Amino acid sequence: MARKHGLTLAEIEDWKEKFLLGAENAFRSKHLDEEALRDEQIKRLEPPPRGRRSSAPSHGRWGVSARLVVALVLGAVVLFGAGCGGGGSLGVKALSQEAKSLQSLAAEGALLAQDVAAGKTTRVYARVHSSDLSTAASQSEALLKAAETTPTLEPKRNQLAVLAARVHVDLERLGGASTEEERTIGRELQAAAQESQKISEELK
Amino acid sequence: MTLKNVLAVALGIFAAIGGFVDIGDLVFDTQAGATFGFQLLWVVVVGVVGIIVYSEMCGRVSAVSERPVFDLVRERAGFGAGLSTLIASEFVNLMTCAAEVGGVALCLKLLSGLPYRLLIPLGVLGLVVTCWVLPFRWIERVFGYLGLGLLVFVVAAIKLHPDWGQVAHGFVPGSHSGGSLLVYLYFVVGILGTAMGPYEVYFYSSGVVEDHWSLKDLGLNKVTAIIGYALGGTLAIALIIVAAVLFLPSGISPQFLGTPALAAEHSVGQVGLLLALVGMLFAVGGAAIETSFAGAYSLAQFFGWKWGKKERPAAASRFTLSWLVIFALAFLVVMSGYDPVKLTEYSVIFSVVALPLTYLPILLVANDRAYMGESVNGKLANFLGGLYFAVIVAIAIAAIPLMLLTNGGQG
Repeated sequence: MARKHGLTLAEIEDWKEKFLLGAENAFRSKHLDEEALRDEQIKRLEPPPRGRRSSAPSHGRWGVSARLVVALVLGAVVLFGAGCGGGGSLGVKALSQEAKSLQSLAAEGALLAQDVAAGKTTRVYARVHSSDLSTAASQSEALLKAAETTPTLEPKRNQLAVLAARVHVDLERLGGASTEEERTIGRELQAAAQESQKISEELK
Repeated sequence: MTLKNVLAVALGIFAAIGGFVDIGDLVFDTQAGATFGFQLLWVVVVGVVGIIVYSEMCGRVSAVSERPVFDLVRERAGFGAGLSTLIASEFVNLMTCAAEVGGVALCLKLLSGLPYRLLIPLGVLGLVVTCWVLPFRWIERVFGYLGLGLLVFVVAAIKLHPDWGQVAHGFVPGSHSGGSLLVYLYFVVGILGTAMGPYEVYFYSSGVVEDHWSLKDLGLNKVTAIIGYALGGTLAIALIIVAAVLFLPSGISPQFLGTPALAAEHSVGQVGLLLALVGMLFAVGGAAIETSFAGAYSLAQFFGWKWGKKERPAAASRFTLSWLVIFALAFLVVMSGYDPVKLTEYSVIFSVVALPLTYLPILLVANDRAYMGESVNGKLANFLGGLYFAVIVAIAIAAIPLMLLTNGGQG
């Protein structure tokens, strides 16, 4: 296989290792950066202290289906744990995703504002849904403000944080706005969605 | 069709509205439409045919034997494999039930404006009282027919004037655009998973016994499975179309249960919004009941307890306690703060992993002439059953790696 594609076995082994490390890292509630991952790998490669016995798993009497069930339950528990994490440093991909997410929130808010102004919605739905969108925008704002990034990405992060704050405030106002204000908010949110989209495309 | 027949089909409509268009579909279908446009419509058709094939099969098995599927799983697979299937299905049922309970509270919040945390206990209490007070047939009818409010999405899809040529193209599997191949495959697995969830067949087969279907009802079983799930499939297709027309061009990636309702509101107005919210409330509430009952049915049938809504609660005390405990656990999961939409994504993917354990015993029993007599699987049922089992195994293997590699479909 390696020969067929002009690769060495070491390259394939390296890919495999990176894939497994990446998957393992994805399970963590707080993802480790590359340096921390490397340190951990070195620790693993060090010989175990004397006297410790090998802990290779023994499947014993367990059937395949029982192991599948255990894996299913454990996998879900680990994934729930992973879902609780957050923060950390933002790379290009994560920043681009944040921009897309902000675009989505702003565009959805703009659509809602348009419907509110046209009298197509109920007051309760408009208030509840705009509040949900506003909360998500404020979480995005907090994440963007707290996260670290590389100096080259810093201007984009700042731009996005300012945009997130604008979207958050606009959506918060939407719940109790007059018809004229609703139209203005709709236009502002539309503009914020376009700006977020532009940033996301520039990050590609 | 007489009124009696219309009411008789309620089991299929309830199973389809609650099972096919539950919170999982509302989330996955709108996300799929908003990401890939019409390109995943063919997956809904594949899923609909699959669930019709297996529901008809397990309905037939239950009608012939007058025993539900889980009873046969234990008999066929033995205690060890049966217990594994039970644990996996209970785990998936609980996750799904928690997601649906959260969905009920979210729908109530969108309708009333009351705080979410107050609506969780109120929603659970409402579901428990409904299950306690109403007979099985009335649960089917109330949730099945009020869930039909979701048909507003079909109206919305038509009113949004999609390019019907592009829609037709979406029914043909082929190359994709708009996202990576892995994300595309993740949505294929997700849509199939929501269509063919294991609790649907457990509930359906137990419902056949609850409704006292026998050999003479095999025709009704076929009609019910086809009409019910085809209706569910139509609603899923409508959700994908509205998301493709309304959300994709604006870059909206639905993250909330309120987002699909926005599509109904935008194209049909206030009445459309209310119909969508009420339809969603009853569809999600119906799915919560189905999952809690499916969990209780499986437990009772595995351990040989007396079971069924036809029994008085005191007469089938362990069965009654089981569904109450499932509701209580689901309540605790949702109260602990897990986002029901996120929980839904996990529950769908994990239910896919458990699918082979559910469907293999059904296929084996339905194919056993000694057991089924004249009602044994025909050539077509066997061919489709085998084909779909291969599909199920493939998606069960791919589900979790795809979820990890795509960061839950986010790319």
